[in-house]
Amino acid sequence: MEKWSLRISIIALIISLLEMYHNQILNKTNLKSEYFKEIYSNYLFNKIPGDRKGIDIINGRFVGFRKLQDTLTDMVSDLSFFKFADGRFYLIIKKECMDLEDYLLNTANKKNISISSNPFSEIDIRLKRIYKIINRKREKGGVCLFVWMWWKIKNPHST
Amino acid sequence: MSNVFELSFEDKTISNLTGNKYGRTIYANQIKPHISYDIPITIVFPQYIDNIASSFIQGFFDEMVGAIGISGIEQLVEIKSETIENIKHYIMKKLVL
Repeated sequence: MEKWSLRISIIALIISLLEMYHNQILNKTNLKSEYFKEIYSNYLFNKIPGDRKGIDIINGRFVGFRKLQDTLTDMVSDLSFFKFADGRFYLIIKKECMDLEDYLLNTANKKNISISSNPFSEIDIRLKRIYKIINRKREKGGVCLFVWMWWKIKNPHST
Repeated sequence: MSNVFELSFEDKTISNLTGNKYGRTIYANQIKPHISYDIPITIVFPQYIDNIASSFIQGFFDEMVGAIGISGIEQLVEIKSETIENIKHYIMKKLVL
C-alpha cells in the first residue's frame, strides 16, 4: 500500500512539474505572440509592402528606396529583444535586412539602370526570405502552444 | 595633432556607401594611422555621399567601438555631413543594431 502511495506521489509531482514547465512555455508564447503582433502590424502588413511599391526606376535612376531602407533598420531595431532572447534568430534577420539594404544602395549606385535589368524581382525574393524567417520564428511559438494544448486534452483532470 | 578626418572616396560618382569590409578598409587607411582617442574626434563625410548602409557603418566604427565603446563615440566623436540630415543620430541608430 505504501509503495503505491509513494508511486502516486511521484507521478503527481512529475505532473505538476510538467504543468509548471508548460505554463512557463504558455506565458512565453503569449508574450512572444504579443510581440510578433506588433512586428506584423507595424511592418509586415503595411509598411514594408507600401515602401516596396514606392521603389521605381525613373530616367535610368533607381529611386524611392529610402523608405524601405529606413523601415528595415527600424524593424531590426524593434526586434532587438531577440539579441538576448534568441541571438541566432536575431543575427539571421539582421543579416538578411542588412544585405537587402546593401542591395538597394548598390543598385542606386549604378548608372542608367533599365527596367529590364529588373532589380524588383531580387528585392521581392529577399523580402520573401525576411518574411519567411519571421513567420518561422512566430510559428515555433505556435508549436509549443499546440503541444501544450494536446497535453491538456490528453490530461483533462490535471490541475 | 589634428583629430579631424575629412573622408574621401576613390569613386566620386558613388553616393551610397555599403559593405562592412569597405568600411573597415576606409577606417584602416584614413583614420587608424592618425587617430587619438584622448581628444575629441571629428569625422566629415564628403558632400557627394548622401546615404550610408548599416554594413559600412558597422565596419567603419568597429575598431572605434572596441577602443572607446558606443558611449565613447556618443561623447567624443562629432560626425559632419552637408547632405545627410542629423548624421550622428542616423549613424548611432545603425551602429547599435
